[in-house]
Amino acid sequence: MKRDRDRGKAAASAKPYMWPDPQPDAGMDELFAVLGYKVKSSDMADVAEKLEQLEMAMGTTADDGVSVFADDTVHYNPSDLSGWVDNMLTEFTGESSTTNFAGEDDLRAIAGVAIFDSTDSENSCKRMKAAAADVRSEFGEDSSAVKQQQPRAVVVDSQETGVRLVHTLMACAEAVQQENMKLADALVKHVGLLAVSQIGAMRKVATYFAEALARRIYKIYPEEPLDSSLSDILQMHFYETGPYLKFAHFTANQAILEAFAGSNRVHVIDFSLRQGMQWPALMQALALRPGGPPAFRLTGIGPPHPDNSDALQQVGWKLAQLAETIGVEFEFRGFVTNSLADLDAEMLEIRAGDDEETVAVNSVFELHQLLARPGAFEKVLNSIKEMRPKIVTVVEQEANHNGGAFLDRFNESLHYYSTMFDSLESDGVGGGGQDLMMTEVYLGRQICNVVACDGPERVERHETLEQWRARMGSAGFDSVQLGSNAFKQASMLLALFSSGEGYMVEERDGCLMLGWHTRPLIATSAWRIAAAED
Amino acid sequence: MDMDMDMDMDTKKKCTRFFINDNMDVLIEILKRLDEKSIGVAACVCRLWCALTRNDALWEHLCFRQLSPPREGVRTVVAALGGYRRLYTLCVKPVLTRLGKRKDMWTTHEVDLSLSLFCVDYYERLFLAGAATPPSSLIFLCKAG
Repeated sequence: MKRDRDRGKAAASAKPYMWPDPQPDAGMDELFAVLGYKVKSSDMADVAEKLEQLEMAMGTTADDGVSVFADDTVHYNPSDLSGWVDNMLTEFTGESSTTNFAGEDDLRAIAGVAIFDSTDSENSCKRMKAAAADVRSEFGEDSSAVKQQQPRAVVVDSQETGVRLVHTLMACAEAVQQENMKLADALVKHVGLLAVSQIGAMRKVATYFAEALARRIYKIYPEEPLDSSLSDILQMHFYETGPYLKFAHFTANQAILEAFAGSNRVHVIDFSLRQGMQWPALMQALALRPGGPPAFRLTGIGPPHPDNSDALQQVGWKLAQLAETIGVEFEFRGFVTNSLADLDAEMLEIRAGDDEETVAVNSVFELHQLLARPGAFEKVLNSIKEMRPKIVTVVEQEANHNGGAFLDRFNESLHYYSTMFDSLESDGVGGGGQDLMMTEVYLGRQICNVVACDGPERVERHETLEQWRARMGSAGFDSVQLGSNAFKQASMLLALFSSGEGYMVEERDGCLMLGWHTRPLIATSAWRIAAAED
Repeated sequence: MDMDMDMDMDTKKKCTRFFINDNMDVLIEILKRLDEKSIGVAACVCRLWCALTRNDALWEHLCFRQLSPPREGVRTVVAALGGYRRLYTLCVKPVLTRLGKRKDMWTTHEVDLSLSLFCVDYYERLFLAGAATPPSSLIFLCKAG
């Protein structure tokens, strides 16, 4: 027995060296087969762990061990090593050893056939009671000692735990959808355990999703939306790590620049000014355009700040300084509002006639928030039409996180944010880990909103480009092709990032998408008011 | 120089020594054609050379030598945003290195991109003036590839 355990342990720990990639349909382990035991290679880690537990349990029964083994419980199919060990353990601990096994739980929960049910193990406990009553009472403490030692695995195959982690997360979400909160609670705790064994992106994503699920289960919603100045800071860090926001700004600016060609007075309406990082590059491009710069007017819209400080004006002031430095005539106006829907085109005082200005409307990650309130989106689009813009630039996350069913939203967002965290991880951001950490907090808040909130509080209602296309189309807007200049600039920008290999720019029906490997993550599109049909 | 010693006084008056430092326009023309590393070396020669290498016109040449004709207004803007030397060190050099291009393969796209990034950096400094953390929008350029 001891020899087998050692061999099992040796074989299991040798697995990564001898069999670098466990095959999905792994056959039986060869070494064990020689001994007459059938063990699947994929079960090796399990078996090794169980053997350890068994030895632990047996070791502590040194004195009375004989009585246990003298039981007349029948072990069917002893060549099934895994099952046999399981049986042995069951006798010892008086409950199914699989209760403490993450893998078995998940698979059962998902398969739905043998649904993990705490009542089942109780029954099996009763059955074993007669046989092992004295043993159990004596080793009540020891079995807990065994349990405590269980998280220590002989071999931690993180790839496998990673797969289990995802399965557990998805099973938990399914449980939440079915309102089976007890199961969801158990599973969410499991996720916590499993997440610890992971490193890097997977660990962070799992932790955020687990936290969001826990909030949903216990109904602890985030109390208040984050202080808007803090939220600006978070987005600033997001700007600095990864190319996403830079891509958004550069591609939108290119479209606006092309729309402004030939105009002497231009007006940009920015739906979320924040720190105004998009505009220096545009102003510089306008300053250097052949024929000289136009008069540039910027209207910035933003949420109120808690201490009533006029953050918008400060941004405007800084932009004005820049404008003066590079020789561009500049005018700024700020509008503070909680929601874009509260804005009227009239307030913006678009100039016509002699002072006629070419208008561009810019929205980066703002439109999806309007979908939280019925009618808000349509109202805003109507306001936009009243502004009579030459171009409307829209940047949005490329994902459907607004599906009707919770499970769909969960699965979609799990894939989306995993990809996003992966890309940030491999970028190996310099400038200290603080940028990366703040970016993760920024994304984590989005995750929390998608998963834990509902109703008007759920503002991160991302939709795909196709969905936006349909919405814009039915609101009376036509698509404007983003030219090759935008594509070239975007490609060049990406090449500058150290992991430029992983990022990709894709052009789809005149819109540009930035993605990580094959998965698009954000999309820039441009629109104009559809020409009226005569 | 040794020849001078050998020559007699007559010929000495006829043949004038040529000190490069007395002919700054020639010197500048030469320096203009150097690459960045050589300019750095040149800056160590003497104080005059050091001062000359700080002349922004030199760096303008380094940045946009291959692009002709030079665009109108670029000089004013770049000067206002911090100068060509800064533009080169901060943006042009990293962009070129990252994109693996030689300077003679520059197009307007690379120029535009560098200028945009330069402007963003300037704005960030403006914004964060006095703040504890330095601006880092260009950090991605400085990281080892």
